[in-house]
Amino acid sequence: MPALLAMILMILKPNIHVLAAEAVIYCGSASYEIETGSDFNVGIFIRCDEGVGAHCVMIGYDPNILEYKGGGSFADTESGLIYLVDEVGNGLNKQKYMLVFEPRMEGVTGICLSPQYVFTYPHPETVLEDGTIIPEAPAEECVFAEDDIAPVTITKPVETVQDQTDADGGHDADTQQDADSGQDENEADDRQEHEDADGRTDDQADDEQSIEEPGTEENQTAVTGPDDQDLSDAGDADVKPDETDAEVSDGGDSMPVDADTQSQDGPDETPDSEPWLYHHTEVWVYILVIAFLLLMIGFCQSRYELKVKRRRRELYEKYFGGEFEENGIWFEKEEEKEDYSDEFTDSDEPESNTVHAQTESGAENAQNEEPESGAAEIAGENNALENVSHNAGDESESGEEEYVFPGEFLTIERDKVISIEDVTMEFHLAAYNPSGLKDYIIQMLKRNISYRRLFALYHVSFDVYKGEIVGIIGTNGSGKSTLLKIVSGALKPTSGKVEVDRKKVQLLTLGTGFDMELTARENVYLNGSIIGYSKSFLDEHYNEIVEFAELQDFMEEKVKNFSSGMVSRLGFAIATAGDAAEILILDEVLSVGDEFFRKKSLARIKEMIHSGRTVLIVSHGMGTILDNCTKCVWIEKGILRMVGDPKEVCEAYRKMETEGAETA
Amino acid sequence: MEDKKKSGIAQYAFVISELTSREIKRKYARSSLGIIWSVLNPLLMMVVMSLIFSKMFSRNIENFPIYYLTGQIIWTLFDTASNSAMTALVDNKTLLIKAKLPKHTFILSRVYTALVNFGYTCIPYILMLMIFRVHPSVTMLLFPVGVLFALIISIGFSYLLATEYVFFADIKYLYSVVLRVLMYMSAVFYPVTSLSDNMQKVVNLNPIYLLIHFARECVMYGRVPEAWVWLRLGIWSVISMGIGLAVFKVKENKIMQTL
Repeated sequence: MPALLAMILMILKPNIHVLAAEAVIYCGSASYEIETGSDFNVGIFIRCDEGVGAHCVMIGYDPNILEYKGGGSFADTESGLIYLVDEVGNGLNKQKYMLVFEPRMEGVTGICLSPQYVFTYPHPETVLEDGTIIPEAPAEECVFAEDDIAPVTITKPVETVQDQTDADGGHDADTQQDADSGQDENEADDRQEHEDADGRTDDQADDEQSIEEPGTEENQTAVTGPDDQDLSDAGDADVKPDETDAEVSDGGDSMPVDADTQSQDGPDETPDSEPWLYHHTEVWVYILVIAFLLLMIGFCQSRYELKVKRRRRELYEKYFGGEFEENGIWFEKEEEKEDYSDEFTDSDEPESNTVHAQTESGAENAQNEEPESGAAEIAGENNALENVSHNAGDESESGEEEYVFPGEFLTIERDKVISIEDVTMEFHLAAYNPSGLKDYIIQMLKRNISYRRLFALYHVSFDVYKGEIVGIIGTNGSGKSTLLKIVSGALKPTSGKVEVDRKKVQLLTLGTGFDMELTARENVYLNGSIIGYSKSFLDEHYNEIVEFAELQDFMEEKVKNFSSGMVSRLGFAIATAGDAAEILILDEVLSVGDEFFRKKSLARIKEMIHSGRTVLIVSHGMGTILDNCTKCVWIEKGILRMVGDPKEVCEAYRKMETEGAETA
Repeated sequence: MEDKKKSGIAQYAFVISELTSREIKRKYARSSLGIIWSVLNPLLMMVVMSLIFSKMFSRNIENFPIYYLTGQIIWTLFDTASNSAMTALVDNKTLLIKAKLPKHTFILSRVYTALVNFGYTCIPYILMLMIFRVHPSVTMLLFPVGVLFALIISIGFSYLLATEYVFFADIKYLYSVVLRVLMYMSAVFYPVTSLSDNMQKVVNLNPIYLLIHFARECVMYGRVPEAWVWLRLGIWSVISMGIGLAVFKVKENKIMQTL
């Protein structure tokens, strides 16, 4: 039982790392397991790569448990302090002291290392051949880490000391004790002097002890000696072969002492530096790989886009070149818009094939549509405006000629505030949705990624004059909102030109841009600032806005608690406040709020109209358009179908709707 | 045109301040201490880290709390700036369509928010400098220069990240990993000298470490940062700003299409 008590204390190796000057002071073992009744040795090592110079190390122990027998420079046995003092130092990489203790009683205690100072060894002045004298290198003081403690466990001696069946712990303790027992101070001192000459590592001093000493006394322990090493020693032993290798590869110019220091550096620094370097190089490699991948993706993508662009240009040139295949493009687009199936996802084939296929299928569509709006008009609108423009007026079935293709008419009688010229907006929709990045890359490498091109707007041209109220109608997804975004400057068209003073334009969409976490007051300022009101303007008009939105009691309330009607009222109030916007674009906002508010907002719109502002209204409500607009634009599937008097345009629109319903 | 420019700048400032105040209000919308957390957080972190690293790992860094705090606040500035700016465009989608201002206002407002937050953390920082008796020196005046460098580099990163985030949302997760690597390589809580020579060389390339080093040199040690630090920071600023702006400009129109 007592033998089992000799537990191995696994404590961090009590080496003191001194980062600044690389002086290390440590005990020979991480921990000591000893038995009462016999001496034991504690090796204290001072290692300094610059050469150990003058030093003073204070060692504390518990005088009640341990009895100091010798090995230090001088000691205060009453308070339990031992001093290792050397005024010169040995100038070598390490200096060793062997302290001898005798345990007084059982228990657990510790030996505390408390370095006072260690100077590097001053190198004597050297005289070179040519007579120059290199002065003595000044001694530098090493900076120390904190004190360190080596735990000592003392147990009762085991009855059968040499019993082979003993537990390992007991066994270790035995051998240790045996090893220590023959040791005396003189020997320890001798060892200190012989140490470096032997060229053996200090860390192995304990091994040495247990190997040499028992060797003189009894063979049995000599055999078990190596087992006696604690973990750190084992580590040293492992490192040893490597170090000798290193020595060989160095070209043999390093002295045995160097090898020693290396073998000591090994366990000391390996946990610190090597894994650090190792892991981080790996990380950098990963980063580089990832960055490279990203670059590749970007590069391939941009190349693909270039290719698509080039193809498109080629196509355009081809079709503009006079071959009467113009319908092809148009129907391709039409097809793309209508057909959301995967039919065209494999469009990585040569583009021309697809086009032909589409032309055919498009031709059928054309026949379907013909009765309603005339193929000539379609062809005219879709292609080079220059070519068709002369016929435009004749071809349009309805509407005032002046409005059909206003781009033609160079006469500007009124102030043109918005001029939309031949605007095309093209979106790329991913036809194939990769399931992940890996899939994406694979598909990309296979050139399987394709986009379905979607023309939200296709060569749309019309002008808006000052003071006009323009209604824009069209079925869902026909490009109305895209048009508004282009006019307001949020989007840039793929081709074509929009001339408008962006500063005067204001886009108002429903309930957007509000931060639900903020109060209504904060939102007024936030939204106002983004819309383009200055702070002073907002301060001035704040009350007006609140009054108009009828939210007097709710301004300090968070918007998330508002009803949707309240939010849109507030939005409308902000957007129409004051006279900041000369061109107001309303996207489905007139159907906002309750009956009363709708009337009020209509009244305000009318008021604006009278004040000479220009308004663009998008609405599905025919009534709103008919009641308020002076002009109506009908956009269908990205194509401008009709511009003109609201009544006529709405009529045509309704006609198409009913016909569409009939055919369906 | 001139007139437009003038009022444009005022409007610009107004928008940024509104956006910033909104971000801050949002950030602490549900907490009862609110903005005080900006002050408390770095302090608490400092205490914890000081305990961990001085007691547990027995690092012997002179004046560790200040050492850590200096690194931490600079790191947080970069971290929050680039991280929050990354999602700026996507988060403000609806506002972006309405706004007539350049789109990068939103990115800048996020970076500015991080800067305001940084300003708050500077309060405990200055307090701690006094408590730990760091000698005031003239070189402390260089600290704002370091912050300026940090801002420029953050803005560059933000442009790049915000743009890419629109097209490739996964970058958020990728970037969090990159950030982690950057943080551990910024010597926020360990001395660089504890690394091997090769690692030190690598760490010296890290812009964030350079910023932190810059700040420590001029605040803690009362030294003017070395020439190579200035040089590298300058190069980093130019590179990050250049790449960020270039990417943003090239993809600006596509951003709106994608959103």
